[in-house]
Amino acid sequence: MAARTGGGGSLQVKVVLLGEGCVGKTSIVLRYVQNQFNDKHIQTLQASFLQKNLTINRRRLCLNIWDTAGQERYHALGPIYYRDSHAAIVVYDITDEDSFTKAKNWVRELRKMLGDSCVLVIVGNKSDLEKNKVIQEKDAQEYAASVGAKHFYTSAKQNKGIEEMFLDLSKRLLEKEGNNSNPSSTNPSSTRRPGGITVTDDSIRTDRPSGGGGGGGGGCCG
Amino acid sequence: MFYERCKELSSTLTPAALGLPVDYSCPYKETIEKLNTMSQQNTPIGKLYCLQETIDNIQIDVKNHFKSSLRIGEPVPLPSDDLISLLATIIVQANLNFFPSDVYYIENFHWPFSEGEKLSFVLVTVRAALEFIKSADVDKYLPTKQKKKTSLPSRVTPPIHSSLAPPTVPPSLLKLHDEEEGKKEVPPLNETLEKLKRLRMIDDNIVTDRNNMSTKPEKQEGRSFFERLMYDDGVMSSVDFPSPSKS
Repeated sequence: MAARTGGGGSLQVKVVLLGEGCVGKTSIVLRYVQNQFNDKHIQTLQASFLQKNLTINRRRLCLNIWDTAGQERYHALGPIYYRDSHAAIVVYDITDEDSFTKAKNWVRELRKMLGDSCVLVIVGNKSDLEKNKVIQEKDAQEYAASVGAKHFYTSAKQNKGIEEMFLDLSKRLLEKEGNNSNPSSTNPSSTRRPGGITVTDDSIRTDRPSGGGGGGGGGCCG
Repeated sequence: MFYERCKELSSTLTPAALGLPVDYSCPYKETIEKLNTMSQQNTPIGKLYCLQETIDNIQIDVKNHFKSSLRIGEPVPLPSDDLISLLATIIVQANLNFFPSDVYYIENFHWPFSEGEKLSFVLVTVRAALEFIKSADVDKYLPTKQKKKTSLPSRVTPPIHSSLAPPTVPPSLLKLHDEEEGKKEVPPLNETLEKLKRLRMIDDNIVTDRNNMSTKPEKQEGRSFFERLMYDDGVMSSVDFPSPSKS
C-alpha cells in the first residue's frame, strides 16, 4: 500500500511492532520516543500509539508507530492491527528461543497478508544479556535475509541500536516510496550519500489525554 | 445479545481476573461516564472522538489511582495488551446497549481520512476489545472469581433458576439491586435465603435491564442462544449487529 502524504507534505507511514509478549516491544518504542521527551511528558504517554516526525534529506516522514498486543490471547487480533501497514518491526528476545519461533510465525503471517509490500525489520532485543543468548547471530541473519528483512540487535535497557534501527527503516521506507511514486527520476543511492544525510527530529506529537473537545485532536502531524 | 453478554461478564471480567497489574485495578468511573456519552453523539466522527477520549481517560485514571495510592514515581505507560484488556472491562461495565452497532456505524460511515493515524488506532483498539469480549472464555476467569467470592456457588445451571426464579423472587426485589437489603427483608425463610444465594448470578444478569422487558424464560432462551452462537461461530472478525428489540 502506498504511503499517504499528509499535511505539510510529510509522508505518513504506519509501522507496526510485532512479537511475543515480554520481548520488549513497548520498551523499544518508548525508548525511541522517550529520549525526545522530558520526564514530565512521559506520564501522559500511551505506549500503544506514538507518532514521530523525521526529516531525512529534506524529506519529511511521519512514523505512526503501533505497538500491537503480543499476548497469546490476542493473537487472533493480529490482522486487524497490521492491516495496511507500510513497515513491520518483528521483535524477539535473544535469550528466548520460543520468541524467535513466534517471530518467524509473525513474519510468515505478515507476508501472507501483506505480501512483499511491507518493509520488514527483525530485531533481537535484550542484547545486553549477551551471555544468556540462545539465538545465534548467524541463524538470525540468515533467516532475516531469507525473508527479505534486515536484522538488528537492540537493547532498550541500554539504549543501543534502536535509533539506528528506526533510521534504517525510515530510509528504506522513503526509498521504497520514492521508487513507487517516481521510479524514473528517483535515485535510490541519493539517500545514502556518505556524509550527506541530514536527519532531524521534528516536533513529536502524541495526543494528550487531557486534550478536550471533540473537534481538536486526530489531525496528522506536520 | 451483546448487552446480555456484558451482563454475564461484568462481575467476572475485572482487571485482576485478567492478570493485570494491581495498578490498573481502579474504578474508571470517569472513563465509563465518558464512554456512556457516546450514544449522545450522532456523527461517526463524534463517536470516534468520544472513544478516543475514553481511551485517553484510561491512562488518566490509572495515573490518578497510582497517585492516590501514595506511591513514588509514575505508572508505566499502557502497552497495547493492557489497554485492550482494560477497555474490554470498561465496555463491559458501561451497560452499553448498542455498542457493536455504534462501532459498526463508525466503521462504515466515517470519512476514511484517518488511516494510519490516531483515530484509526482508536477504532482498531475498540474492535480488538470487542472481539475479546465476544470471544472471552468466561470459565477461564472463574477461578479468580471463586477466590474472590467464596460464598458463591459454582455456576448456576439453567434448570435450577428456571424452576426456582419466577415463584420465589418477586420482580420488585430483583429490581432493588440490593441483595443485602433483600436478604434482610425476608429473613425467616431459610429456604428462600438459600435460593436467593443461588440466584445471585441471575440477579446480576437481570436486574438492571433498562427496558424492564426480560422475563425469566426469555432470559433463559437468550442466554442459551447466545452461548450456542458463541461456541459454534468461530468467525472472529464479524461485528454483531444486535437488533434493538433483543436487547
